[in-house]
Amino acid sequence: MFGRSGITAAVKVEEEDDGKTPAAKRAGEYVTLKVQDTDGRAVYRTMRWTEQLQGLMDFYYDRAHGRVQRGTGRFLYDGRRLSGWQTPAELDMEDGDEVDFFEELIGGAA
Amino acid sequence: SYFSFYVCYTECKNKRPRRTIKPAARNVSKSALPSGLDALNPNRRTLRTASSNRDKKNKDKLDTEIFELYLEDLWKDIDEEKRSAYAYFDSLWFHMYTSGHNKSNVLKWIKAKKVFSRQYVFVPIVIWGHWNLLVLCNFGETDYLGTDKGPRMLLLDSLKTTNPTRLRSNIKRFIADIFKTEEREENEQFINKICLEFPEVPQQNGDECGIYVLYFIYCFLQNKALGEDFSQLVCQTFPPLPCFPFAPYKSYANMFSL
Repeated sequence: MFGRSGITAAVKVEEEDDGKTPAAKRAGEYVTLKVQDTDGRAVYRTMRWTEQLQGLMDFYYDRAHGRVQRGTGRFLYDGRRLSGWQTPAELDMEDGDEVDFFEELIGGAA
Repeated sequence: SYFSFYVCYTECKNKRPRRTIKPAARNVSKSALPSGLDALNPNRRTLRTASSNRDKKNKDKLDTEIFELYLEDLWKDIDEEKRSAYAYFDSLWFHMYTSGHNKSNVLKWIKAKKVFSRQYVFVPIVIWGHWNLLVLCNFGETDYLGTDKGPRMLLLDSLKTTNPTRLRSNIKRFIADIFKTEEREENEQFINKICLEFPEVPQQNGDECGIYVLYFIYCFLQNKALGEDFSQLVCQTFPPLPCFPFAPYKSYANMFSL
């Protein structure tokens, strides 16, 4: 896909500059994402473009330990539900992008 | 059509969910999982389940995650023409809007759904612990306001005792904001003329209002002719609930088996 292709090209360019601009290499390899929940908590995590987002989810649950039960909510990015196996590269996420955490609702009345 | 009915009926009679399903890919299994699966089994009342009190209490209730997975599967089965004529909102969006969290984000996501280019837009609503289905019909046909071909809204509720007055005001505000976000030229007087109707729909016996909302959407999706007048659909007798397709259940179970 386009996102991946772009990242691959970026990696190639960085290889050519290997040793010369390590800062640029690091900047291109990682993305910093934010998880915002309805209680006003914000959690930031820097991860690789190709790392699965499950790591971000687990990181949020660890930080919210005791207040949010693991697995009870949903991570939304651009209105769509995130899956743990997806990567920032697949979703064309950008540095500073925000993910919303919402607890799932349950409905049923007798 | 008869064959499809027969297949559905056979599947309904034979299907039993696994009592315990442990997803290998996840650290913690979700308590809502057994209730979601149980609720779709027509013999659910005869099942003995060794579940916790919470699970027993919520066994027929759907949460928004399971609902979304089913709806995604239903959407895969419709043809391309319907996929462009219809749309649906995420079942969390209405709550996110009414609670005020990320209100502007929700309206932005809704704009991307192109409501005014659709014949039907399905809006699942979970509010005060109950599921409803709001259907936005022909919103783009503004020249036909007041006729059957014009914009109108249907609120399908499987529990008659629910008081629609409070929900009505939430819906009106919701619709007004959708118009505002789209920068439509229609004024408030126009928006107030869009009727909110409460068609007679099958009523639930237990806690399965979430299943009924999926069922209502399924009935709309079964509409054969794309241009068919929706009022005819609403007047029709709904097919019996056991005909609700259980293929999504298989996909859902497979998803967790991996």
